[in-house]
Amino acid sequence: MAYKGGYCGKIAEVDLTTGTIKTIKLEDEFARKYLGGVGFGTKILYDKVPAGTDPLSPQNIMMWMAGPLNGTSFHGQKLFMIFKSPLTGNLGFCKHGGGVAWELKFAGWDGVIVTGKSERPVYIYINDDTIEIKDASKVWGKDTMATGHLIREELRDPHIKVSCCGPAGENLVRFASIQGELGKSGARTGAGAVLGSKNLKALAVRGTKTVPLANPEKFHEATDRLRKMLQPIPMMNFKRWGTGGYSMPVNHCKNFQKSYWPEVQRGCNSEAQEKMFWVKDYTCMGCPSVCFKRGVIRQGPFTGRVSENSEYDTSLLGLSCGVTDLHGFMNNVGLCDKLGLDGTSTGNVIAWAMECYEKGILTKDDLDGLELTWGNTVAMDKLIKKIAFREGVGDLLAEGSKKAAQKIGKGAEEFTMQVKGLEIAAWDPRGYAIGESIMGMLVGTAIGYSTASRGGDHITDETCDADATGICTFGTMQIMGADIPMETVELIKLATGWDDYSLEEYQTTHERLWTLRRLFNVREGLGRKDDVLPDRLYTLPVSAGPLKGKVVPRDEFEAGLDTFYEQRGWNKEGIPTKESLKKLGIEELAV
Amino acid sequence: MTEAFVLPSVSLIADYRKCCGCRICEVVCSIKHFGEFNPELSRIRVYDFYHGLIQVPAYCWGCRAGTMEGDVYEEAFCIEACPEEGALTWHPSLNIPVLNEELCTQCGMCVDACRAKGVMTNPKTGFPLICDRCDGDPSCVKQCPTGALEGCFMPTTMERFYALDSPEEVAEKMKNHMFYPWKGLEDWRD
Repeated sequence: MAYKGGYCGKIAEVDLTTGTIKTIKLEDEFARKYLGGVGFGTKILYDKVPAGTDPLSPQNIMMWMAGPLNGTSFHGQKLFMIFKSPLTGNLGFCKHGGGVAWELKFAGWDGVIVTGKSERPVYIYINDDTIEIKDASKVWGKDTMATGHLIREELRDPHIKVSCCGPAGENLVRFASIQGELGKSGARTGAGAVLGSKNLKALAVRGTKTVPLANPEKFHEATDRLRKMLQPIPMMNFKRWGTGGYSMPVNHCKNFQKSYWPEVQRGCNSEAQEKMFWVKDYTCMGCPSVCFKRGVIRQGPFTGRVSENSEYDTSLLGLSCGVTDLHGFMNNVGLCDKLGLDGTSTGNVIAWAMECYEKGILTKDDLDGLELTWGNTVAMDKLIKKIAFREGVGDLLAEGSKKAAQKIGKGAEEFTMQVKGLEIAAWDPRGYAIGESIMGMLVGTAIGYSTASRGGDHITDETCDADATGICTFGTMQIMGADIPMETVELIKLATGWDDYSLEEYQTTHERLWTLRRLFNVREGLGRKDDVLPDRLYTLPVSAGPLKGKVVPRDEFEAGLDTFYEQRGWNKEGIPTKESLKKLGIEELAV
Repeated sequence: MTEAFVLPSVSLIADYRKCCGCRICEVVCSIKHFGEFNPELSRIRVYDFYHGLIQVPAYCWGCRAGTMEGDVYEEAFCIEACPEEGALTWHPSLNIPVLNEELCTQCGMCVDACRAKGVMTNPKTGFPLICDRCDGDPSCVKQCPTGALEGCFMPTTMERFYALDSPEEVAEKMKNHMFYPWKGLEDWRD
């Protein structure tokens, strides 16, 4: 049964080398098999980008993909970017909130595929059915906030939404991000660098159409009900603190060396931000959970700069670098957004550089005269700019901690906190859980980090589902008392009109997408040998607090990996078996 | 069970500082009036400035509100601009201009005349779209997550004050007041 709604039915393919624009019809079989978002993207990337392609060459492709629930009244709208990652060399994908997902669907497109490389800086402007490649010389070199503002001024439409890279992306920093709006970062795995390598500054979208739905009345009723069911989770009140509420109990500091450092946690947590810094709420389209804040710095050397709240993972810029100065911390978080850098990776790389400085591996001369001591926010501010523009030592650090450590040598590789080249997020696998289920949770997080398809990041089952449908995990996890997979299936049914769509099919789709991501990485030569954690997590115990003395136990970790592979239908080396591929209906993709 | 008595809202007040830009008001408005979700069909639009920094909801404030029967105040901007006699008339109790579609020629003068950008154009029919306060019980107010939109049962002189500002002017004030000391775009450059 062909879909009657949810999808707009077409995907644009823009070739920047020749300037041609093609329209690809979205087939029902394809839509049902891969669902949307990262699902579509992974499949197209798998077909179009052969193994061994240089991620920064014109042969790599950049995709913006929306899911079947994007452009609807369901709250929490995300847009997905899929590409081969310049940071890890594997599958790269990320997502950002903001209005671009809505506008893209309103314009009547399920996605945009960008291939080739433009000769001069350009941006793509989508206005309903017309797609133009426009000259970006006016915004080239500008930060993300100015780019969004100037493109809207140039096109004289305040309702245009822009997804763009900053100076970091233009300078091919390997962990450059794409920004949907200030603080809405498609941060991980270096999407900005792929944009920069194509001389593409931004995607500007404006749509005026209605997204078709198979059963609009019931769909709107359901989204209305779910939106009203959204309650702030008492422990981490998103409406008050955003995801930063989580980072209050985060307990690792100084590049995962120390734990429980009260000055740092008191200085930079969300409560302090709320008191000293925030002036305004902000959120994604259609979502009442208000996770984002806006603020302006009113003290210290950075007075007058606007910034946003620190999310959970950007807390690495503070905690991991030992920052006690809130205003400097807020400046660095905002600076990463404006320059188009991934705050998580930047925090990790700087923390690593700080440890190198402490241990004498990097000297003051190596760092262009910067005194990179723990918590020196003024030096961090200068270093972030150096990284974004690849000046001096920034050119080295812009390669990411793995490649930079290989260049430096002298034992610096031992304390890079990365998995498969991607710097790990703020979860500490050694001491994340407290309580009875401690071992289960402990090993769980470790397995998550080591096997995540894009490297050291928290990719879970929920995010895999959400990445295909186009929704936000934080928006759905707050719907108290609802069975989220069941509700999602129901919404997909109402939107698309697939009456026989069931939870089983949804779960099979989930397995298929998960395996497909793995297949892409296996084709690039990855296997069990790469599913490892940074050494420090196995060897260096948590230094203080209730989890004092804990490490990730190697034997339990290996046993957990076996179980994980088995449950996914992969063999001992972590390669999907022929049988499981056949069960999922993708046997033709075997490597 | 008796229904709770609700005083009809005769004006809709927006607290710009609280608006978080979620655009749920647009969702609710277009679904309530047209049964489909499309911000173009909404009678309230959230303008965004500086790439997500400042959000300003724009809708009909009811700029003639606060006048008494027999007062000789000037007309609302849209009614004043309307070339057709009787196409737009003032609703005396809800404090909004009401459209008579039979007399409207779709000239768009009211859209240009409104200083608060509160009159939109329906892309399907070409008629102007103006907030009707949901007959005194605005749906957007009920779902606004931060309480930025509020319905009032007394017309206030605030409308006359706010209705003179376009979203651009409001954003200009907000960046100077809320984000003081505003250093402009690219504030990180030395």
